[in-house]
Amino acid sequence: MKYRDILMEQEDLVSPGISACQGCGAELCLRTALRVLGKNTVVAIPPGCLAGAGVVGWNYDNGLKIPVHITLLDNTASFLAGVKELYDYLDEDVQVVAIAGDGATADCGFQSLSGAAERGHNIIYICYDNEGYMNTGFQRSGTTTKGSHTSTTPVGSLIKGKAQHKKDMPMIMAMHNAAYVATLNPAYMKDFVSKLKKAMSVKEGLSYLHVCSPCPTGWRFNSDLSIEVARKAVKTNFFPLYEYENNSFKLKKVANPEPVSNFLKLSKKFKHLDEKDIEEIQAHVDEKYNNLVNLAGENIN
Amino acid sequence: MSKVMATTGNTAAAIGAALAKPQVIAAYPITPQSSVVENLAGMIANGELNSKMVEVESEHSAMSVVQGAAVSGARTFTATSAQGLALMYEPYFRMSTLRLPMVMAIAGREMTSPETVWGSQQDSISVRDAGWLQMYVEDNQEILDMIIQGYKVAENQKVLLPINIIYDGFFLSHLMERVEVPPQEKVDQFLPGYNPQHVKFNPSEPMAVDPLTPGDILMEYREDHLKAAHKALEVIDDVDNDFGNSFGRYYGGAVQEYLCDDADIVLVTMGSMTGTAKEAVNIKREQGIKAGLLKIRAMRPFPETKVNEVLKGKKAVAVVDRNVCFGWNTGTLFVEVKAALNRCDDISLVPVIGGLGGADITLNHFTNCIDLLQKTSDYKKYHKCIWFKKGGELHEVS
Amino acid sequence: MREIRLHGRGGMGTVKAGEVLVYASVKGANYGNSIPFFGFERQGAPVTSFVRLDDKPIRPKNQVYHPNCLIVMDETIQKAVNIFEGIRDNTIMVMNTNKSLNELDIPEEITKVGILDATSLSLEFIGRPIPNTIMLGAFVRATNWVDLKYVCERAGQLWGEKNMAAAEKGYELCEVHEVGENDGK
Repeated sequence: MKYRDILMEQEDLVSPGISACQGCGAELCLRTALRVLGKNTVVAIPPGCLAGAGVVGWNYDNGLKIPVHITLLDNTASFLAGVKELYDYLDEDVQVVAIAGDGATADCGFQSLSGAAERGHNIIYICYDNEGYMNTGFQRSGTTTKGSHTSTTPVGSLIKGKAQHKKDMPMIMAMHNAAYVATLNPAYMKDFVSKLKKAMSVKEGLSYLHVCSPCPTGWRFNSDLSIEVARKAVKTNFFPLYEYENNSFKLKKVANPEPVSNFLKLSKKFKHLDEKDIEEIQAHVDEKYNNLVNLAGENIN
Repeated sequence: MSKVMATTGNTAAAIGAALAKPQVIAAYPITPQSSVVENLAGMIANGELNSKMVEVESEHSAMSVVQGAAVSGARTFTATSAQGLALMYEPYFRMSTLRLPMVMAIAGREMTSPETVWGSQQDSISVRDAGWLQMYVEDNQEILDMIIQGYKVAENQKVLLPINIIYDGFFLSHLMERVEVPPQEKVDQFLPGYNPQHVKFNPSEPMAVDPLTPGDILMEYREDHLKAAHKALEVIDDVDNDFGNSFGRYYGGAVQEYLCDDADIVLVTMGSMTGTAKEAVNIKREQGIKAGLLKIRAMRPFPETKVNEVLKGKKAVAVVDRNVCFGWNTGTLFVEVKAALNRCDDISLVPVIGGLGGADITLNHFTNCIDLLQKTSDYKKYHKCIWFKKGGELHEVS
Repeated sequence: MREIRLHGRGGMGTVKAGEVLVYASVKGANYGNSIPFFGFERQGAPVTSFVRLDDKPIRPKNQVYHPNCLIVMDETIQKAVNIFEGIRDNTIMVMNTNKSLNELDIPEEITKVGILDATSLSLEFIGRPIPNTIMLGAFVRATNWVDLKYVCERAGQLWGEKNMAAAEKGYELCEVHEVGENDGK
C-alpha cells in the first residue's frame, strides 16, 4: 500500500472534537501515526499537549477509538513495559505505543525511557518534540534550542533566551543500542510512514521515533506555516532525517542545505538572536550533522 | 502437607508472593528488602515460578511497570523500603486511586536523615494517606500468610484496593525462624485467579483508562474509595477467618487482642515489637498486675470501632510507635488511637516512641512502661511523651 | 528458653552460624530464631549475632541481652567487646582459642567451657581460616541443644562436604570442661 493510500483509506482513530491548537504538529503526528499503527494498539500519552487536547478522554469519554491511558509525566516507558510484559505472558500480540512530548521523554521521563530501552521491551516510543512544555505556557525543556525565548528563559537585558544547546535525544537512544531509532518529520510523510512501518516490524527491543513537531503557539509563527517550518528544519540540517539499527546509521542527505537562519527566522522565539548567536547555532548544527555523516559512512542517500 | 522451613522474613515474603502466582513482578533492590527480589529472581531462574520479572532501574519504575501490568489485568507484586518507597510515591498514590489491587511488601526502614539503613516504621507510616490498605505483621509466618491473604482482600470486588504487608526491616527481614509453607494446591483453592472487570487496556474493548476528570466526578471516585477502604475492614476479618479455617492460623483480623478482657492497663503495639511486649505482659501478670496488649494489624483502614471497644473503660494505655509524627511530639499510631478514643476522656493515654533507626526495643522497656502506666492511671491526663532509651530506660519528654 | 550470643569478626561466618543453629532446631521439630546485630559489615570488624532456641514458639524478635550460652569465634575479640556482658548464671561458653583452660580468664557465671583451636583446624580441614562450622560442631558437643546431624546437613548444603566434615571434627575435638560451681539448674 502506498503511503498516500494508507493516509487516505485507513481509519482516523482520533475521536471527533479534540481541541489542539490550529496548526499543531503533534496532532498531525498523532493522527498519522494511529492511521498507520491500526486498531490492534494500546496507547499511553503522558501529560502534555495531546493530553491537554483531550486525546486521553474527558469526563467519561474516550479521545481515541483505541485504548488510551494518560500516564504520569515521568513513567510512560516503564508503564508500557508492564503492559507489554503481561501481553507477552498471555502470549497476545498487541502493539504497545507511547506518544509523548519532549519533556516527558528527555527530562523527567528520561530515566524510565532509558531503563526500558536498556532492557529492550518491545514497545514503540514516539516523541513529538516541540521543544518545551508548550501545554503549560511554553517553559523550556532539555530539547529547547539554544537561544529560544521561552517563559522560563525570557529575553532580558542580561540574558537572552535559553543558554544551553538542545539535548540530542535520538542520538542518546541510538547509544542505548535501541532496536530501531529514527527521526521523523511531518513535511516528509512518505518517509514518516515508512519509518513507522519499520518500527512496527521490530519484534524484539524498543523502537524510538523522534518527531519534529513545530508549535505555532509556542514558537510563534502563523498556523498555516507548520509544515513549512518543519520542512525548513530538514532543509537547513537543523533536523536531519536518519535511522539507526543494528549498530549502523543511515542518513538522508539534503542537496544544497540552506543556512539555519532560514529555519530560525520563521519563528518569533528566535527573533532576538543577533548574527553571532546565529553563527553559534549554525556551528552546532554543522558539528552535529558532520558527526552523523561520519557515523553513516556509506549509508548516505 | 505444609513444609516446615527456617527462613528469613524476606524469604518468607518471596515464598508468599510466589504462592500467589503473580503474572508480573517488578522490583528494585534496596536494603533491607533486597533478598526478596533475589529470591524471586532465583525462583524464576530455576523454573519454580512462572512470572515475568522486570529488573527495573528504580522504584518509581517498579511501581510503574506493575501499574501498566495491573491496568491490563495482571496480578502483580513488588517490594521496597524507605527511600525506595519515597521515590515511588507518585505511581504509588496512583495505584490506589486507579483502584488496582496488588500486594506490595515493605521491609520497614528508617527515613534518612541522619543517614541510616536500619529498621523503623517511618517509611510506611509516612504514606498511610495514599489510599492503600496497610497491614503490619509480627513474625515471619505472618509475613507469608498475610501476603497470600493480602491478594484475597485487595482483589475482593467490594474492595479493589492495593495493600501493603509491612514488616520491620532487619528485626524480621533478617530474622531467621520457623515458618510453615502451605502447599500450592491449598493456596490455589484459597486464592483463585484474578480476573478484573473494572479496568481493561485491551484493543478488544477500547477504553480510556483514567481520562481527565472534573472535580464533581472526582469527588464521587473519592467517596467510593473511602467506602471501599471502610468495607475492607470487614473483608480483612472475613479473609482472616477463611484463612484460619483452611490453614489453621487465625490472626484476629484488623486487630489482635492479648489478655485485654480484664486488663486495667494495655500496651498498644504494631509489628515485631509485639512479641517482646507480650512477654512483658506475662511477667507483669505474674506480679498481679492486670496488663494486656492490643496489636494493631490494620493501620489503613484504621479499625476505629474495634480499638474503641477494646480500650473503652481501661485505666491506662500506652501506644508504642516505631515512628514519629512530626508536629505532634508523639508517634503516629498514638494520634490515630487518640482520634478513635475521642470520647474516652477517662483513659490515661500515653504516647511512647522507641526503636527508631534500628534501635532495639527490649523487655525492660515494656515492663518499665507497664510500671509507669500503673502510676499514671491515677491522673487522667498525661502530657508527656515517653522515649525508649538504650538499656531499657524510659525518658519523659514534656 | 535458651539464648545464645555469638561473637566473631566479619568474614568468619558468625551470622550464618546462628542461622544454621535455627535450621537445626527447626529440623529437630523445635523452634529457634536468629538475628544479627545491625551494623556495617566489614571484613575483620566485630560481629554479634543472637540466637534463641526453644521447644515452643518464640515471641521476642529482638537482641539477646541475657544469654546462657556464648559462642566466641575469636578469642581476641575480647579486646574490642565485653563478651560476658549480661550473662546468666550457669552459662556455657564455647571458644575458639589456642590457649589451655588454665590460661583463660573466666567469670564465675560460666560453669561449662568448650575450647578448641578452630582457626588451625579450619585451615587444616577447609583450607581457609573460617572457623564457623568447626565451632558449630563444638557447640553441639558442649551443649547438646541441637542435633549434630542437622548442623552437618546445613553446613553441607551451604558450604559443601568439607564443612560438613569440619562440623563433625569440631564435635570430636572440642574439649569440654566443667568449671566453678554448678547448682544443677
